[in-house]
Amino acid sequence: MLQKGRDKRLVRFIAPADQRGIAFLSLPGDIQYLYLPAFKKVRRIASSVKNTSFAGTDFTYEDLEAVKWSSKWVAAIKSQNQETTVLDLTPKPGGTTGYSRQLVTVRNDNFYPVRIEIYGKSGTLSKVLVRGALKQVQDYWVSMDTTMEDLTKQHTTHMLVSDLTLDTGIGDDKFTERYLSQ
Amino acid sequence: MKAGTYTAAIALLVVMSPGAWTEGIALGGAASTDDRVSTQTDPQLTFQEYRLEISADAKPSDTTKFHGEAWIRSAGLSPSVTSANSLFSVGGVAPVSLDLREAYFELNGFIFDNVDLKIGRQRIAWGTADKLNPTDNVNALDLSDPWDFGRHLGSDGVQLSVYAGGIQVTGLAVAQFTPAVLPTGQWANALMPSAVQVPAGLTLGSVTTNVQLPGLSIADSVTAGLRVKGNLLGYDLSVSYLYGRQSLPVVDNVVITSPGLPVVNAAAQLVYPREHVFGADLAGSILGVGVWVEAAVFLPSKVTLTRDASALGMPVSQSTALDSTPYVKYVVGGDYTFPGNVYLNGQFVHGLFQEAGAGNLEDYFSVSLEWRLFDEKLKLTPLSFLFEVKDWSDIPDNYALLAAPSITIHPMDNAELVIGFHWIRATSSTVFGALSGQNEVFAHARYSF
Repeated sequence: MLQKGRDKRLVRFIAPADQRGIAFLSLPGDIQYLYLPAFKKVRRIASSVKNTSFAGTDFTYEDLEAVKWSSKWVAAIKSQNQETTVLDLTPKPGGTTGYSRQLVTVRNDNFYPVRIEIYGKSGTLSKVLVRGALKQVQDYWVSMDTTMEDLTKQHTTHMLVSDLTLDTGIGDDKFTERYLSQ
Repeated sequence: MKAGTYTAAIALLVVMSPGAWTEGIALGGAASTDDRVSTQTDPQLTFQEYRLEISADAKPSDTTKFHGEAWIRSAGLSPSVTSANSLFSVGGVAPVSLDLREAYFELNGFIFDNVDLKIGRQRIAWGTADKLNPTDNVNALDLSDPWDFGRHLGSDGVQLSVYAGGIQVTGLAVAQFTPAVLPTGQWANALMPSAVQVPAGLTLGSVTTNVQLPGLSIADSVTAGLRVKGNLLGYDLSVSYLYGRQSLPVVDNVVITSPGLPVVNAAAQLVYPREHVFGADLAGSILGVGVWVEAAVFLPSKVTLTRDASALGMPVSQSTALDSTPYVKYVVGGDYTFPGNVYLNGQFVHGLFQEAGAGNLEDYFSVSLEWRLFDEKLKLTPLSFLFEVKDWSDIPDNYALLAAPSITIHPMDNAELVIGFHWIRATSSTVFGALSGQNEVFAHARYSF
C-alpha cells in the first residue's frame, strides 16, 4: 500500500495468488479505480460499489479510500474523559457515504483514533474498527494491527503492517492510472 | 509530535506477504480443469480442457518490468489418433499444447519520464464495455472456448504510451498478422456459416479449405493503431483508430468439382480482409450506477466471392461476401451493486464479435446477476445470459437465448469450484439455431499458486 498525504492511496495485492495483481487507487474528489490484471483493464468504480466488500474482507471500498474526514463528516464531541474523546460524526449534506454515523474514539495524548463504531444506513451499529498495536515510528503514530469486525456477519479482518517506510518523498506519479496498471 | 493514522500525511508501504518472489522473480500460475457433459439421453463429453498456467514477473528496477505467461493445455477429448503410429507416443495418445499468451518487457520512463514502452507478445485490451468490446480488435479472437466471450490471443508488437496533462496517447504496431482461433464442432457451424452451397440435386462430398494469409511484407501484415485516452467532466473516455485485418476469415473463392455426379467436392479459399476501425468509448457513473458506451465504425475492404462450378458446366458467378459499406457496432451498458453484495450487469449489444458487414449485425442483450455470500466463499449466478433478437416484429420466431447459470464455491484461499448449466434455445433464423437444445452441465475447478 502506498499513500501520499491524506487523499491519495494505492493498494496492490501480492497475495493470495488468486488476487495477485489486483490494484485499487483512491484519489481526491471521490474518484476510485480498480485494475483487474485478468482483463488488463483499469475500471472506474461506481459509487454503488463503494459500500461493498473489498476482495472478501470486512473492509469496503469506502473504508479504504483516502479522504480528509472533514470533507465528508461533521464532528461533534459526544463524551470526554482523561484518556480519550469520543467524536460523533454525521455525513455532510451531499456527501457520498454508505454510513449514517461514526463514533470515533480519539486518544487525547496523540489524537490517534483508536476505535471507530460504524453505523449503517439503517442507523444500527454494523462494524467496529479497532486500531491496536500502536507504534511510534519517526514522528508518527501508526497502528500495526487494525481490526475490522462486521457485527452482522460476525466476521473479522486483520490488517497487519509488516513493513513500513515513511517520508520517502513519494511522487504523484505513483497515484495514477498509469502506475496502477504497471 | 505528529498524530499519524493510515490516513496521515505520510508515505506508507505495507507488505502483506513476501509471496512467491524469489531473487526478483515472481513465479505463479494456476491449474484448472473444465469438463462439460451434454444433457441428452446418452450423455457425451462435449468439452474438456485441463490447463496449467505459469506466469513469471520480474521487476529489476522501479522502471523496468518483465511479464510472461504460458498455458500448457490438454484437450482431453478423443485425441487425434489417426493411425497406429500415434499409439506409440504420449504425445500421440494424450497431446498437449503449449501456448505462449504473453511475453513482454516494459520500460517506464523510456527516454522521457512520461513515456512507457512495451515490447513483446502482449494483450492490448481496448474498450470499456464488459467482455463484448467492439473496439477491442488489436489482438485476434481466441474462440477455442466459445463460452469464454472476450478471450483474445496475445500479439507480437510494440506499444508506446505518452502521458501528458491527464491525457494518454498510445501508438502501437504489430508486424505480423495473427488469425483467430476458431471454435470447433457445432459452434464452428454456428459462428462461421459455410459459404459453400451446392446446386439443387447435388450432394456435397468433401470440402477442402485453403487459408490465404497476408504476405510477409509489413505493408500486407501490419496492424497499427492510435488511442487517445482522457477524462472529461468525470467520465473516462477514449478515441481510437486501428488499421488491421478481420481476425475471422471470409470465403472469397469456391471451386466445385465432381468425382462423379451427384457428388460434388468443394475447395474454398479463406481470406482476412483489411479494415479501418474508428472507435470511441466512455465510462463513468450516474446516480451510483456504472455506465459505459462503446462504439466502433468499421470500414472494411470489399470481398467478392467467386463460385466456379465450370467443371459441372455451370457459369462462374460472383457475389459480395463482404460489403465495403461502413458499419457500426456498439455496446451500451451499466452495472450496479446492491446492498448485500448483489451485482447486476446489463448490456445492449449491436453486432457480436463474429459479425461483420453492413446489414449483418444483430441485437443482443447480455445480463448477469451475481450474489456473493458467506464472505464471498459462495457466489450464486442465477442470471447469466445472452439474448438475441433477430426480428423485433416477430420475436417468438426470431430469437436466441444462451444462458449459463452457475454456483461458485471458494472453499479456501486460491481455490475455486464452479458448477453450472449451459442452456441454449434458438430459432433456426438465428446464428445459434444450430446449437438449440445442445445443453450441457459443466464443472470447473481452479487453484492459483
